[in-house]
Amino acid sequence: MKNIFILFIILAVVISGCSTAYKASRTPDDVYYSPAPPAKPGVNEDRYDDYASSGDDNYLRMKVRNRYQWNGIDDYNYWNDSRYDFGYSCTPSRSVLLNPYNPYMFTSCFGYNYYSPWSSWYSPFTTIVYYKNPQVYYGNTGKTNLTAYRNRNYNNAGRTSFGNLLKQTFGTNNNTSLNNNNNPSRSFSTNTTTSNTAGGRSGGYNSSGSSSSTPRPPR
Amino acid sequence: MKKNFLLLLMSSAAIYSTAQIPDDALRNAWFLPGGTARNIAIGGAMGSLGGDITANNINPAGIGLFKTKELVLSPGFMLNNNKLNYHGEESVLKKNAFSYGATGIIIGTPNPYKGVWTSSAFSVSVNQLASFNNHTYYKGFNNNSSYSEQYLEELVRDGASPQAAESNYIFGSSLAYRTYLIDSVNQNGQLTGYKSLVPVGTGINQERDETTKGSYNEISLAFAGNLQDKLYVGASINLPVVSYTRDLWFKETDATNDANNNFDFSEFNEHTTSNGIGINAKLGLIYKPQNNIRLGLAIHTPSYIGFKDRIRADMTTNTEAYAGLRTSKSDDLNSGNPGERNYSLLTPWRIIGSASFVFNEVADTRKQKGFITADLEYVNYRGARFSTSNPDDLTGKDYYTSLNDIVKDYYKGAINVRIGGELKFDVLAVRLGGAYYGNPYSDKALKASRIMGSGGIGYRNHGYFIDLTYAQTINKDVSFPYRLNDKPNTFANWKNNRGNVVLTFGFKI
Repeated sequence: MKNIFILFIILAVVISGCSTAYKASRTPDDVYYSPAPPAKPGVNEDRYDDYASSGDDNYLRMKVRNRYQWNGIDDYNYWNDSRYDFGYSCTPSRSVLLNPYNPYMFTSCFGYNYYSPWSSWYSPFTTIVYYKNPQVYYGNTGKTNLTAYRNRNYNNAGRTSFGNLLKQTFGTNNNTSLNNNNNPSRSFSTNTTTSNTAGGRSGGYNSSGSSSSTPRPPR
Repeated sequence: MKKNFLLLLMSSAAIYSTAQIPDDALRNAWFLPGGTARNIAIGGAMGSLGGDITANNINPAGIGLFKTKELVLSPGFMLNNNKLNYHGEESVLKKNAFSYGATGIIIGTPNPYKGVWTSSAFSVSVNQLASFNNHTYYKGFNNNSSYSEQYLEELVRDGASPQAAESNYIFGSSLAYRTYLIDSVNQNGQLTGYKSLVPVGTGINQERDETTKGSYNEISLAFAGNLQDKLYVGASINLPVVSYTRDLWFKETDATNDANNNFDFSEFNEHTTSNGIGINAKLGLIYKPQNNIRLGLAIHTPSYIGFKDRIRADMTTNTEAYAGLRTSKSDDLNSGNPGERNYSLLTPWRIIGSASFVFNEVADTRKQKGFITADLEYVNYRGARFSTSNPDDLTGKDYYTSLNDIVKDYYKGAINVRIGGELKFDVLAVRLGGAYYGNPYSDKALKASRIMGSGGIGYRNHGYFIDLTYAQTINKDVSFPYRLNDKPNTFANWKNNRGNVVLTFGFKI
């Protein structure tokens, strides 16, 4: 962490040596207002519309010049212009109609079916729902370190106080037999068969040691 | 592909691990306001304000306000003062450490053509969302329970034979069994259970000392667009980088002067490291219904973090005439190696709604007057999920399924509130803020909250800016020395007063 702090100091010194575009003025505060250089001069302000309408304009100009010559020719740009292809109506988009092999064709809308080369199984738009078989996991630990989080009985009493004495005398502690034992103990429930392979995963770790098992030295 | 990417992320980190318990989930989600000095000074209420690099970690749409370029550095210093009350006894301990806030670069680019998009901005930053550097200590008299009982419970519930007890729990129960803190109980030559040598009935003095180090950092790549200075949309891809080290020492001492009651003391040491790297996304927008008013909405996806933990433990017990002084170490039982564990954590998602009012939103910095801002955040702490990194590890899956069930029960969703404001006087500015972070525990008996008050000053001139902030936080939490299933649990009430000094130095490119 101290290295990081030293790095900060070095960076600050380097930065303070740099020149800034605002050396002779106030530092802009982008929270309130962020200044921007003006738009480039000479550039058409309505760039998108100009580009988009050029095809329409040419078509109209040609039609005005000779209505009968151009009436029979459909507006190719219109039918292929994605600007007019909204795609959210029930009618398939025009590009789809023009290309019957388009794999993204709607298959149904309000009861009307359109041709689709995909079967429903292979269609990229078919939702595939699958279920995992129920899995049963068998652990070899009772995970007492976790189940203890469900124990919401608390006793934070310190050295014997009048309140504690009352609690101990009149309280309804179900575990008094445990409390009164000078040396606490826990006994197996009946029919418990002890196992040499119990544990091994205490606290989420592999808790069986890799060393050759040395027995506990006797007392 | 996605899986490979995550594996690559996980393997590229120099990482290692701790026992997965629900507390690990909270450590990676319950954060205080951080970032630049300016952001901390206004209580971290950056959801709708924008114009600060901290927006990368709160609402990325906020960097959409930038049409300029700037470089920011935020070093800091933290002063911890811990007061813990355990069984009526109060212990105090201090710990100071370096820290840092949001540091990085923002490149705002105005659209040279007049169109729908007025400008766009890109930012790269690194930010410390949480510092784990701390040192706590508490002690108290207890005649209700002993830490040895957690080992009794584990061995009895697992149906462990003496052979299993001495070899299959090398970071806990086996150490207790090998040092005779606990021993087997036999009747008529048959094993009937386990007993503790600790004379709980006559009372014991318990002490716990914990030193933690490390931090939760986030590397952010953010992009935002500005539509007609009316609507700002942004997104950030963030890489959380987490390092955590804990040295735990716990001791129980006989409270009597009786040298013949088979117990003098027992002490336990545990060293754990947990390192991880992951990924998350943050999406947001800021809308200006009219000049001066800003409304913000941001959603943080859960972070998917791959962790690797390591653990080492040892125990020394003196049972006087029973077995004398004994020491046992996990290293001796594991060929000198630490225990290791690989797992993934999915942190809780969060949603932030916010509003700001800016006085005099004008170009002339001399006429800018100030702002007030507020955030309301919901964090679903009970939504954290653990999973094993090895899909074939069925025992691990079973453990993490149980752990996730506990997380759902133990935590709840909580609301956090942040509020702040600034008054601006040409080149100088003064700021005040506050934040309240709600209790993440579902059990009402466990009182926890975080309250922060902050204040700061700022100076902006000649292309530079310097902000200085002091934040005082009162963190209320609980600390359990151990947990038991069949007896009342006990915990210390923990009050952490944390002072945080942050300096931000910025430069307009």
